[in-house]
Amino acid sequence: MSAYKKIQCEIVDKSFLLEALSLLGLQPELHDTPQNLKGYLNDARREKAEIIVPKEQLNNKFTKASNDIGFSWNETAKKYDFYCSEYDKAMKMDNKIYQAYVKVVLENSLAKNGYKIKVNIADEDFLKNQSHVIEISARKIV
Amino acid sequence: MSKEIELKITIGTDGKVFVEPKGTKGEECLEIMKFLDKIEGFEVLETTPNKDMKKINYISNEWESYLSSDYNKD
Repeated sequence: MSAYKKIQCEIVDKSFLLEALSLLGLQPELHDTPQNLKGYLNDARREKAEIIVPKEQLNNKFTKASNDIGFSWNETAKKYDFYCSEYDKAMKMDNKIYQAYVKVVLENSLAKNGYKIKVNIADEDFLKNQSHVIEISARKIV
Repeated sequence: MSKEIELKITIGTDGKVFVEPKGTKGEECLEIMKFLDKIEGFEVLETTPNKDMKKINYISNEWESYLSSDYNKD
């Protein structure tokens, strides 16, 4: 035991993002060109995205009056811009998605580096409208 | 000689990650955790030595100063 690392993450990988959304039971719409997001009253918002999680899915699974959530590739920053309304942020939807994304990315990277992993919560638990701290134990022989 | 190492990883409800290695000594842990710095989109906010790492560094620094001391050269 010797040092701790604290890490934060940007969303940069489409396949990991889709996997993370799937973990949360969300099936986003994928568009070739950015489309307007829709608000809770079905009004078109000015924000546009290629990957859109329709508000109905969010309402059914987690919230009651969501707006669409969108991801738009930012070529300059080489990352996805993450569009999430204030309401959905208050409902912690952005955090849920970040957490699921980090889990997917880390599990992939740990496996590539030869670690065997154990996770404290089952994938099914991500479908519940609860917050979890995820604990991963990764072991390998060196 | 081979040994088992463990990374204890916590992903907070805000998506922030905290990693603590176990089964390593001194700065070996930095080498073991290096792959985390290379993950695309990950930004390491902080690397903090814990007590064990400090203790080992402290001992090796003492040893180095002992070896380089005038007393030792004589």
